[in-house]
Amino acid sequence: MSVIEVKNLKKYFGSTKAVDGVSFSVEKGEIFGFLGPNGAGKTTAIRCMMDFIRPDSGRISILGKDAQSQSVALKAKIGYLVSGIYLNDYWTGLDHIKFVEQIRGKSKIVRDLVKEFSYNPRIKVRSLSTGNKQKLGLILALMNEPEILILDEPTAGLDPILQNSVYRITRDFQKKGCTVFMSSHNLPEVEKICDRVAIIKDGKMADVEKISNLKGKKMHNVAVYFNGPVDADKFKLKGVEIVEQMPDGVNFKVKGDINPIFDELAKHSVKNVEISGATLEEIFLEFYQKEK
Amino acid sequence: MFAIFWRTVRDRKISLIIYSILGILLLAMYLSFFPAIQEQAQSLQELMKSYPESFLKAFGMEDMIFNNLESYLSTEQFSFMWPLLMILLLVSFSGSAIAREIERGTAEILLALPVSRLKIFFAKYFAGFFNLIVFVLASIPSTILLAKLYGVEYKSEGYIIMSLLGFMFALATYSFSMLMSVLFSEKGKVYFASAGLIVIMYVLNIISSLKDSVSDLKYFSFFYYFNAGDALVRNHIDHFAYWIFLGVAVLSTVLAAVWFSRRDIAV
Repeated sequence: MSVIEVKNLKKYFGSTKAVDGVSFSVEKGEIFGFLGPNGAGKTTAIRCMMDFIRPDSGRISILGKDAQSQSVALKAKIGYLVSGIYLNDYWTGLDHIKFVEQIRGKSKIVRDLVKEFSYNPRIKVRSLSTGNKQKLGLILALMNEPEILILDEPTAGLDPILQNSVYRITRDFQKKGCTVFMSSHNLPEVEKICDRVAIIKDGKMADVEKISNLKGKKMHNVAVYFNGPVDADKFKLKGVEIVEQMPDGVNFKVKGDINPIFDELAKHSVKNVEISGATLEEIFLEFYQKEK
Repeated sequence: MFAIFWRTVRDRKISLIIYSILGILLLAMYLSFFPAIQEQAQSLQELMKSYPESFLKAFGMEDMIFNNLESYLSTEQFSFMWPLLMILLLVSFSGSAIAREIERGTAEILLALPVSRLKIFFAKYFAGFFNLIVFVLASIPSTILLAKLYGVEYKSEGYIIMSLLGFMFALATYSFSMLMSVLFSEKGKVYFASAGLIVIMYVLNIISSLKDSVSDLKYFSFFYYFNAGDALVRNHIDHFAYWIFLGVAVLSTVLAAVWFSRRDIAV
């Protein structure tokens, strides 16, 4: 069952097509990643979902409700982490928490969250580090145990230990039935916790994939060192790209099946071979190169 | 809605207190000078006769009677200093109420809450309205208490009428400034647009008094309708002033509420 449905979403700012026909759906209880480089349209799409800005066309439905006309009812069920943590500098964390409680109701878990994040809520926001502001933003998003979490760059500014806390808390919320929609630049993070991922580029959807499928788009970096001179052109095989020619070897990028290059290598005298699997980031970049 | 209203009031309490105290201190200062002015009333009145009539009219001094407290205060305090304080307080409030929240991104915290945009707008609007009421009450009727304190003779009715006129002038200025705050996403632009328009209106009022050929320009100025001398000395407010001030206030507020509900809000 889809809890978030975005259909042919378009948002233009003058001649700039910030979001240009984006469609995807998020199933109940999944952690859905939203990936793209800066300026790809991630935050614009999220702001349309939150009804901060209005789409030029297309439809956004969350929990079966229209995200524009029924946004007030929806926001009661959505926990939202703002991008860049735009907090009131002269308020303390406690001021923020009390303010949200006055509107959303008393939180049962805010003390646990404060403890979990080792956060001091009595300090004014202007004196907080970026990481601590991010912690407060997360506490505000999570404290009322929403049905849907929309997180724009949730681990930005956090150290690795706190990043892991965020992953664990996000998974805990997922176990309770919460659906999580998160944008990120951090591909290993998406690989770690997301079930599916949408990739956006220049305002358009590049793809929507299961993380396992994305990893299944295998790519290897192969560095081969030969005992004698070799004609690199012989390695111009399907899916094989020559990245760099060295005096005694060649660096290849191999997409898909790795066997054809080994069949060719068997015909040569090889001194050494180094093979590394491509990271999700390299796979991700490959998407863009493919589109270009 | 009340949480947003109260939070906004709390956030702006320091400037409200400062401006209200400034208004009272200025009154106290003028009142402390008044006995000396009264003693010199005749010679000062003679001096005034030497000024061109249009000049006196331009600066609201045509009815100046130096041995009358209301006449003296309408010129010294309520024709320039009081409007200046009121404009600074309310334009800075409205600039920070909406435009600054958008500029700094803090509007996202409000917009992510289950509260309609109309409620957000009116919570902010009424927080400013509260500031306006407190400032008007602190800076106009307080004259009666201060006059008693200084043992100066006064007519209390004039200050009630003056409070009403000041309230309407402030409401029109504030509502227009809130409209600017909704239209622009930067507080600097709100200050520039609001203050710019008010300065233009002030200049129009002066020019219209100096030259008969452009005397109709006065109708485009709030300062023409804000006749402190008429309110304080003659206990009268032109009916047209009610319509202009309330009309501008209602129109600006409705436009601001509608625009805020419909506009894109993003940093």
